[in-house]
Amino acid sequence: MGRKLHLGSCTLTVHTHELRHHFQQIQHNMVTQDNHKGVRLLRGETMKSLQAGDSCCFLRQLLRFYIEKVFSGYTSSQSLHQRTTSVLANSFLSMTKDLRACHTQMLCQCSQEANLKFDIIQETYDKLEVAAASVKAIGELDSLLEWLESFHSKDHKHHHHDDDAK
Amino acid sequence: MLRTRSLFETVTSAFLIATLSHAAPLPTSLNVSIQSENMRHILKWSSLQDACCSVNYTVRYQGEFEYMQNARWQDEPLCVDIVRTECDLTVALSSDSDYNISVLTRCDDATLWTQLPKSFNRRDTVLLAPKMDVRQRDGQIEVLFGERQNHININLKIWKEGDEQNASIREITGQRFHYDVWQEGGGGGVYCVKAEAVLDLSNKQNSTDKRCVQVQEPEPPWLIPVAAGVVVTLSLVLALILGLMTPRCSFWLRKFVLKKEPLPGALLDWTKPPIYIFIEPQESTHTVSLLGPSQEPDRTLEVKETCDEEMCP
Repeated sequence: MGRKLHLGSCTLTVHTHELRHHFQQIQHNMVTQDNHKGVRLLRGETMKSLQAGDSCCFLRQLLRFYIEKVFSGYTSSQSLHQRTTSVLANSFLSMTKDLRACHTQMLCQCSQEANLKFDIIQETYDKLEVAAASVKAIGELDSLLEWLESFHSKDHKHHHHDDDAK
Repeated sequence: MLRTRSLFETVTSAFLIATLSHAAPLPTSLNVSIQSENMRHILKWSSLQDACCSVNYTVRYQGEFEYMQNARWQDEPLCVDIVRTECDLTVALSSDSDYNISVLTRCDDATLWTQLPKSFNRRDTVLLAPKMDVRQRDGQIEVLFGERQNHININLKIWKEGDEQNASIREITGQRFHYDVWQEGGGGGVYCVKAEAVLDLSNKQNSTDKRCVQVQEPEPPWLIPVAAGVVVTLSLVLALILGLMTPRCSFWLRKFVLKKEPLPGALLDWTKPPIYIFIEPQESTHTVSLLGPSQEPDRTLEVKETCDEEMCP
């Protein structure tokens, strides 16, 4: 079911349960295929330490990164996996459309700090070979979903607002 | 001869017509449509079985993501080279993107590509009224729902007939729902329910007709303990009464039930002689007479007489 996420001043409806369900279909395969387990792209603490005002723009950058680089670079001989990544990619694309509306209203601006955090993710990704990097990034979607789910609960919502006030 | 030749020509031409009419020309397109009800999306198309010796179909789709990637097409894995004329695309189309869908037909050596006339979005699904079954049992209304689908919420409205303005509305999470009339503070009477399906993607709604059931006045919760108490008390009282009456009754019962038969006349004056059993002792014995104090002879007199005999020889 769709959940309303409050990312700073931007409100977004995301079907997090559905995304997680699709991700679980391929998670095991992606994690076992990951040959660079020592490298980490998405860190939970990096995303949780973001200012509330940065969450919208950071998510927008992450979604675009997944659409343009990760899912585009992913190839699989298993057609069922291709179907799942297609659903995830199209879902991410729909989310970016909604975020675009916030962006045009200047509700989705990134701070310098958030931009730096995102650049580190992209640089780490670019250092890896395309196919291996895409498998790693898809396997790490768990962290992105967990971060999104953290916006469901009121406690976290208050926590992000508190951060904003600092 | 002419007649035979004419007959042969007729048969041959009939055979040719029959053969040619069977191998119908390949149509320019299939009649492709999508049937989407309650978030289940089934693509259907017309069969080319009659026009081809061998035919198979492959279903392909293209979301906005695939369209961005040089408009590439994605095969639905479960509908590649199939002979049936329908394909379940529920999983493949489970994002909010618009999708182009097409069917690739391989008919003998020919290939036919037919696209769904309009792009499809799952928000376009037809929302049906929920399937529900209403029962009444022991002061409870039980409502059973059919299989639940993603993104479809069900709200159930319950009210006592004639009091719809005070209806209570419940969000249904499972397939079974119980409404306890007693706990909800209602009495017996006719209750009505109505279920409404809501699609969370587009806020479409569809409701069932109202269904009413007669609910009997439920037993109050204190009734069973009180009834049990009364039964126990009555049992105790009964046991006590029986206990008190038993000694008297038993005498009376014995007298009544075990009626004493009179002795025959021959036995009335007959006295039974005592039976003595005398056993000859096997060992030698001495007879000892035991005397009571009253039977004991006057020893002082005896002593005195003895002394007199000693003093006076």
